[in-house]
Amino acid sequence: MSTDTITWQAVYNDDTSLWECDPSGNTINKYEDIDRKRLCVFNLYSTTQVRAGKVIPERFKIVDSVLSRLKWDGVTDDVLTNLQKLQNQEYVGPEKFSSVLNEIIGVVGDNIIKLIMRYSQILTPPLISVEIRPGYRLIWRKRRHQRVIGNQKPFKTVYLVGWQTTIQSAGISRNVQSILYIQPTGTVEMSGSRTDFELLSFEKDLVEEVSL
Amino acid sequence: MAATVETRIFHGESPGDGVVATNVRFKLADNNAQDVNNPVVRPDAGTNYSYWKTIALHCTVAPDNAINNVKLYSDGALSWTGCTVYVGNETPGAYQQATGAGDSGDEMVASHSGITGKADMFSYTSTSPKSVSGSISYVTGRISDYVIQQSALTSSAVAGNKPTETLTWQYDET
Repeated sequence: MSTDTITWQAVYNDDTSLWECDPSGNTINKYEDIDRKRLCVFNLYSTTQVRAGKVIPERFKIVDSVLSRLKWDGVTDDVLTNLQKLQNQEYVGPEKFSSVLNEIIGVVGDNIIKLIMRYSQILTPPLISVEIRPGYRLIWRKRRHQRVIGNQKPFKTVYLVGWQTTIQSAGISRNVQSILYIQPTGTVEMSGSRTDFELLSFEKDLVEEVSL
Repeated sequence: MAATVETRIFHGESPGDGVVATNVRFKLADNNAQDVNNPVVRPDAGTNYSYWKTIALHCTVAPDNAINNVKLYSDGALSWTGCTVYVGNETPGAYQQATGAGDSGDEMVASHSGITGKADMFSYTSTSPKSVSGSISYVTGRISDYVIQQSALTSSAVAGNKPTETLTWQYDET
């Protein structure tokens, strides 16, 4: 069971994602497991919200805004009319919702089903969402503070999230970082690297450069 | 799952993994007993030293990925009049037992083969912590290299047991 108050979701460029914790708050994936070549967004959630079922498993509901977005994306009126029959009902679990969709709107293709499911998800918004653009590398740390003597547990954890990149300018490489420091009080501070960082081996393997 | 880490302290000729540090007591002996034996002697002139203390950060429940970027800092104010707590500039990977003779422990820079300089431990604060070498991945065991600390007393030191001071580890876990 994770004792951390914050947990992460790595969102890939194919709309799949990798969660650090399962709905019970147990760690199921490690930071190293993130496929950095596909990573496009790194979300942070309250572990309490995850355990309360407000984040995963996914809940789905078709509301007016979902139908509007689907219409905008070219979904046919026939499909939209059928979807209206499901309006404002909540479904828990992607398998259940997918099954209901198949039953109510028939064969429309996997892409349409995925689109409906994506738009219909009821997810508590993440606390922090970091976009990882090509050439930028994720930084994620739990910075613990623990007394040398006394209670041998951290008395403070500051969560660090952001990105780093290597910028080439006039033939000189420069590492640039942009990091959010999430304090235990909930205050979020933005900064470059305050103290030095030590990259992990799998972070070093992905060195890319951005030229200015 | 979050890693579990603790401070270990090392005494004797072959301390192995050391013992959990419930205190770090500067004294004129190579042990950590919380008693009034072996107090550091206030000099009439010059400086007397305690035996140096050797501590390290140790992991008993492994991190999911790694622990690195270990730092150590103080609150910036030592309340012990006439005393200074020094920390070795280096954090050696090899243990060396503390020694001393007469009214003073052997000074760390002169006597510890892994230390070539020292600084006031209380000059390191949360905004400017001391870097400590060492890291660990997936496994348990000693995370950091050894931190060597030693108290120094001048003639202005006030006799008696000193109040507890607080030092803090900082480390990055993934």
